[in-house]
Amino acid sequence: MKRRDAIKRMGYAAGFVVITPTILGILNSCTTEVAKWTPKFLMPEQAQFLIKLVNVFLPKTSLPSATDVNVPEFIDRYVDEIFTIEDQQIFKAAFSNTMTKISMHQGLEILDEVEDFQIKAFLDEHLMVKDEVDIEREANPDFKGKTTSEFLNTIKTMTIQAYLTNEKIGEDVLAYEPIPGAYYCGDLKSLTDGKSWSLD
Amino acid sequence: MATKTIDISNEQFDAIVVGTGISGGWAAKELCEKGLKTLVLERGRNIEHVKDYPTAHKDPWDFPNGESATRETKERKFKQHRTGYVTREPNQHFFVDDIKHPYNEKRRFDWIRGYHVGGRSLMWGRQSYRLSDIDFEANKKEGIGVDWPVRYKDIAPWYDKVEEFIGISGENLGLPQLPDQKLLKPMDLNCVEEHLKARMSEEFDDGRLLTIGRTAHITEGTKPGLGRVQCQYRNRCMRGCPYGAYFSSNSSTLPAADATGNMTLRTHSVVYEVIYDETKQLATGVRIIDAETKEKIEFKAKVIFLCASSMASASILLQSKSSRFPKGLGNDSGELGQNIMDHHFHVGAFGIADGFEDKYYKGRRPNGLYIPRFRNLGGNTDKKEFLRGYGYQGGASRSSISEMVAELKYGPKLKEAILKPGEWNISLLAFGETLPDSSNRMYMNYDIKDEWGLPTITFDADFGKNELAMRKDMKEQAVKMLEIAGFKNVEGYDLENRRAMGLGIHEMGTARMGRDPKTSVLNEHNQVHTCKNVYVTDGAFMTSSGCQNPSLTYMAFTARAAHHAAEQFKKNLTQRKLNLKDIT
Repeated sequence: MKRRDAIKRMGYAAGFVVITPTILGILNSCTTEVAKWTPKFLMPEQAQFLIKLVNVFLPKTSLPSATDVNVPEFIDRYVDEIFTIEDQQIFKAAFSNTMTKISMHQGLEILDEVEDFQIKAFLDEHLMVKDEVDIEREANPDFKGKTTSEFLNTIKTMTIQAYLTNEKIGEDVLAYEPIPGAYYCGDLKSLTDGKSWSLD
Repeated sequence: MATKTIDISNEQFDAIVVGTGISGGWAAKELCEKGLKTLVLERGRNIEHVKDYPTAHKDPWDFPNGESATRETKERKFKQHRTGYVTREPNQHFFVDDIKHPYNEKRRFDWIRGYHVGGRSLMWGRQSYRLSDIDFEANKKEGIGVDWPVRYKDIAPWYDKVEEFIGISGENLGLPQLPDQKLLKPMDLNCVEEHLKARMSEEFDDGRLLTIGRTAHITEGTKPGLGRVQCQYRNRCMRGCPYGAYFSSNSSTLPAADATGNMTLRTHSVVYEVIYDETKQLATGVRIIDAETKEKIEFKAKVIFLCASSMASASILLQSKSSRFPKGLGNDSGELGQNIMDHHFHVGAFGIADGFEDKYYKGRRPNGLYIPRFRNLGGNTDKKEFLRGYGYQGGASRSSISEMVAELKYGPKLKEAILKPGEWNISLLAFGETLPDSSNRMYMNYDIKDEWGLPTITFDADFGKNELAMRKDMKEQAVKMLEIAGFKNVEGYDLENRRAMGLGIHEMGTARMGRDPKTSVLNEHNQVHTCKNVYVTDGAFMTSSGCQNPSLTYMAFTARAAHHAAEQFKKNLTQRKLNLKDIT
């Protein structure tokens, strides 16, 4: 749970990046090629939920969806290879807890059947945006784990970072210049047509 | 440049250089160019320029986990990881494994290093400033430590020589505390940095200025070495530069040494002792352990240059015990291993610049802004709370994600927002001078040995009262400057829990120069006072730290010492020939 408040500013400075260049098509994804992805860290039901969740954050438009660019695989590998053992345990516990909560929230016996609109309803209640405060955290300031809101925001941040450091997004969607050859200031519009550089 | 695999154990060398980093490369180049047959010993593996920079062209998506440090790296390189950046995937392979290369900490000390040809010249920060007479005279004026046995006029021509060879870009300001240099054209400040610069010149009457950093990058023309050309603004320097655009031993000094035909480079050679001859009262060579075969070998030479890094060179001297030097070679004073200094940092301020939303930049500048020292230079710059001063490094850039991202939950609008650059951030990070203090020291621990059976180093050092008092001002002035510029959300910081000696990676001072052998280890030519054919020219020689990044000073002193050593060598050679004539 959360409420709007002017106290807390949220940061999006998490420093992770990356992904594999292969195209991964899974479940709701519109890609036709179905590659096999065996999660390294996540339980199969967690992986399935993650696939739905990341596509709610970044659905398919004229640009690829999160699953089109392998975001779930990235997150799974990232937690497996980069997180400390302690952070893995926190992540795992928060994931289970969140899945239980959303099932109860939506009155679902099996989370496999969760629909996008149900995920959105849950996010509306728990995902924190700028200037909102986490009531669960306020009630338990010393809790070492992640609250539901913190967990959802972590997934949102990881989804965005994974998306932006994908090869297709980095080279074809964002402004990409591997060898700039110079450094100078200029107008955003004329330099990149308003987009970010993919390399910084 | 190929490393020699032939048997060189019976060869007689004119000179031995221990180490191939910033100072070792220069010693090798200068000695070889003066005609001395020189054996260069490196404890790590070879790194060939370009060929051995495996990540130089990789984009973030070319790494299995992006550029983040893996758990395995963080576990094996747990002390290197204290920096927070050297263990990242693009460059972690250039930093040591802390489990394989242990050291001990009576007080926390962050010893960040790389064992390979080129040493830290491959991964250094590249900021290059001269010391001035304000620095060389400070100890004497204030009665701190010992007096430097050199003044600016002694070293100035050697700064010239080094700068012209390696290439440094920047802007001369004509400041007494920051001497002018031989500079290539400066890199650009961006529009937010220009704004801060303009506001500072309007608001301060104490001489503080903002300029672009002086950095060891080629910005015009070329420089000698292996095809060294202009910087391409990729900012991937720490991975090794395929253009040779920044200075490293690998691209510049070692190829120059190699081209003379006088250099023999032997890798995997862990030097642990300088051999002292009691009759000659000189060193006759070094003892090494081959890192791979664990074989012990002696190499002989007339001149020894220790350029192994401040801590490693002190460690070699401390292990070089004889009946003449029971506390280690040249350690009559007991100062060897003491007076460790570094630059204290992780203090400053940051803020956000409004009004530049329609501005952006092209390129990734491997450099930032610089605010030269403006404290304790006389008049209204004097502070009674602390001695010496500090400078700021920093810069402005746009964050890669728009602040809109924090306001949007999910869906197509969020997806659009994440493609846009975020707000302009600006930060100032102070680097402060540290006073020499004999209680800040390292010594050998013979109870804990490494896998080669060599004693390990124990560190016992921290910053003192003067540095802590200086930090208050470092934070306050950073806040003041950003506020005066009209930036918003300005916050000062002083990361107390991250503050430890060594983290600046400017550790120095363990074999200081001085005029008196009773209180110092080295003389004015970087010679061990009591064993004159041993020169120490890495950071160990520093008598005070200044607040300037020190590598350029190591290079200049090394070139000067090598010139001195070569002159002495030739004089002795002539003398021996004359003596021979007398006999025959």
